[in-house]
This record gives sequence, structure tokens and C-alpha cells, in this order.
Amino acid sequence: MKDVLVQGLYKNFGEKQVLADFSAVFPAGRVTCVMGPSGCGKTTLLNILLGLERADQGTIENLPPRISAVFQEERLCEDFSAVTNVRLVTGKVLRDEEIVECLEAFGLAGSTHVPVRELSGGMKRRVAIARAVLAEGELLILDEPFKGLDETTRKTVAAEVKRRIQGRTVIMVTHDADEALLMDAEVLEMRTLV
Amino acid sequence: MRDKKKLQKFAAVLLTLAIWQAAAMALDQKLLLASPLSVLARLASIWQEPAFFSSVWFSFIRIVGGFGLALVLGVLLAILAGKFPVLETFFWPVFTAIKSVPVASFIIISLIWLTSSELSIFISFLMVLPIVYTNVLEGIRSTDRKMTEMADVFHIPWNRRLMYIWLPQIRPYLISACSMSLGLSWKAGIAAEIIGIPDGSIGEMLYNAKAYLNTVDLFAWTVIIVAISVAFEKLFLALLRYGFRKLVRV
Repeated sequence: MKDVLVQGLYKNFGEKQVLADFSAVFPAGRVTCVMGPSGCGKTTLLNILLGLERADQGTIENLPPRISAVFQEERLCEDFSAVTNVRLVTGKVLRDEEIVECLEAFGLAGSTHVPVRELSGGMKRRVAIARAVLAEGELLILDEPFKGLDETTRKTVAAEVKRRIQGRTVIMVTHDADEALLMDAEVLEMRTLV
Repeated sequence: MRDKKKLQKFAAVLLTLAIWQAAAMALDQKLLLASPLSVLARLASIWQEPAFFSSVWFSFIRIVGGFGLALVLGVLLAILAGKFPVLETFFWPVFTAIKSVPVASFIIISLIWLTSSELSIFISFLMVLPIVYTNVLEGIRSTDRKMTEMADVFHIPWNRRLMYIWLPQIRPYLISACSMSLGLSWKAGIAAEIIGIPDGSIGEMLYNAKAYLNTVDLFAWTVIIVAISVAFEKLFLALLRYGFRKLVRV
């Protein structure tokens, strides 16, 4: 895995310019926290990296073929259990026991086999995080992954994420500098375009 | 609360039957209006006639066959139109025509090309197809775009997408389409049989009852059609829901 190189990225939504000549290097095997005020284009950048948006101009190099993600919303199949939601992305690569073990490590013991719709917002967030860390992908893109988690849970979950993602490149968006510290991340500041 | 509602419905049925009986007694002309009691008595004997089960089977297999074909093709066409929007435009005039042309016109036009015994399959197929297609396509369209994006990011294969993302979204639309079209397939299928008069069908029985002014038989066969249609609708929808539950496990 090489560093992910973003060069001269431009993105407009109609008249509104969100990214203009944005360049960055995301070091391989490290966590980079992208920080900045609301509307500065953090989520747009992640969406471009995920292939969900197309940049108007610019290049991205060394993007691996498989990327894993925690989206801004949970994007879980509500009728299915946490285990099934993880199995949906991992296929048969992992045994059920391995998935359950991971979910329990994220504080979901006893909630692994009930439909996700019955879980609280914070629990759903942890299912989405577990899904992302268990899914294949040398690059992990995390959009405000600890949103909605209380202080204690945030620390536990961050420690567990850090333990499980070693060696993978992580690009994480957050508004909270403490979360960058929790993840031992390098910080990349983005600014709102005037 | 539910028991009270059931009781009220039962009372409403009894009241309707009482009004029917009173009207028949007041009119006192069996030819114009058969009484519910005479229909009930006829129902007790009609099933013993040699042609009864073969007639019911003849119509049942054709109408249900037409419904089944429309269900499969409607779902397939909706999936294709969902995947390739140009097909939706291409299908639009066909489905608009099917929905607007009176069923009697279709029956008469179809008689030019088909034999009378094939008619009820085709007509029930034709009436059900646009309902299934429209509903399932709406279900596909309502699939959450964010979930599709998630599936793209994680490279989820199509069979897992179908099982875990699409089916749960389409399920209520498909059940609603079946619920709407099952009764219609029977109405249209029997109408086709009455016009085409294929030998040994329920339609022929109804036609004969009308031709020989046998009003009691006419009412009895109508009750039989309603009973089979409702029973099949309940059974099919229960099986469909059970199938979905088995297929889509937590």
C-alpha cells in the first residue's frame, strides 16, 4: 500500500464551489484526520475518494481497489441483525463467531442477533464501525465515526478501532480535536472557500 | 377491540343476508331474485354434480396460471425497467393501453387469435401484468439510494443485494400488487369465460344458468367464484408472506 495522493481537486455543485485546487497526501498505514468547519468540503472529499462523487478536475493516485467505510449515516439493513449486516459485506470470509466477537468488543454483547431497527442510535453507529473494520479494504474512510457516542463509549470504541486497523490507511473526518488525539492521527485542516 | 370489530362485521353480514332474504320474499319471484336460503340449499347439492370439480379445476388452473405468468413477467420487466430507465419509456404505451382498454374489448379482440379455452389465461395475465409491473417498479424506485451506494462501496454481489437490500424494500409493494390483482384476475378470467364459453368451465356454467333462466344456479356459482377467489387470495398472500420470512432471515 502506497500513500494516497490527491492533487489539484476541484468540485462544484452548481454555482457553489466546494473544492478548489485541493491537494493532500494521506500516508500509508497511518490515520489522517481531516478537520475543518461545516461546509468546507470534507464529506465531498470522502465521497470522491469512495467513488460516489466525481471530481470536476484533479487526480487521485494509489487508491486501492477495495475501500471500507463508515458513512455519515449508518446505512444498515434495518430488518437484519448486526451479524447479518456485517456478513453482508464480508461474505463467508469470516465465521459468525469472529463477527460476534468483534461486535461484542464494541460493546454490543446481547444485541448481535436482534434486528438493527431495535437498537439505539449509538449501538447502530457501533455496528457500522464494526462492519467497516471487518470489511476488506486497505483504505478505511470514516466520516464522523464516533458521532452520537458518549465520552466513555467513544474512548472504548476508538481504542478498539485503533487495535483492529493497524497497518491500514485511514482517512477520518471529525469536528472534534479530541477524536484525532484518541486515534493518534495526523491532522489535515480544510478551510471554507470564500 | 379486534373481537368487537369481527363481531360487528359478522353482524353486518347477517343483516345484509336478512335484507336479501326479506327482499326475495317480498318480490316472491325466484326468476328475478333468488333467496339466500334457496342459494344455500343449491350450494349443498351443486358440488355433487359430476361436472362440478372439473369445471372448477378448468377455470382455476387457467386463471391462476395467467396470474402466475403475469407475476413472474411483471417482476422481471419491472427489474429490467428499474435497471434500464429507457425500457420504462418503451413499455409505457403498452401498459397504458392495457390499463385503459375495457376488459370486454380485450376479450373480444383476443377471441380472434385464441381459442376460447385459452382466453381466461390470457385475460387474467393481461389484467394482472400492469399492476405487478407498476407496483414492483415503484418498489425498486423507492430503494434507498444511500443503501445502493453502500453496496457499491463494499462491492456487495448482486445476489446479496437482492436478498438483503432489494427484497425487503420490494416486499410491501409486491404483496400489495398481489392483493390488488388476485381478485381482479378472477373477475376478468370469469368474464372472459362467459364471453368465450369454453366447454367445461365455470363461465359456461354461469352462461347456461343465465340462458335457462336458472337464477338460483347463477347466484350459487357466483358465491362459489367469490369463495374460491377469496380463499386463494388468502392462501397465496399467506404463502407469499411466509416465503419472504423464510427467505429474509434476521
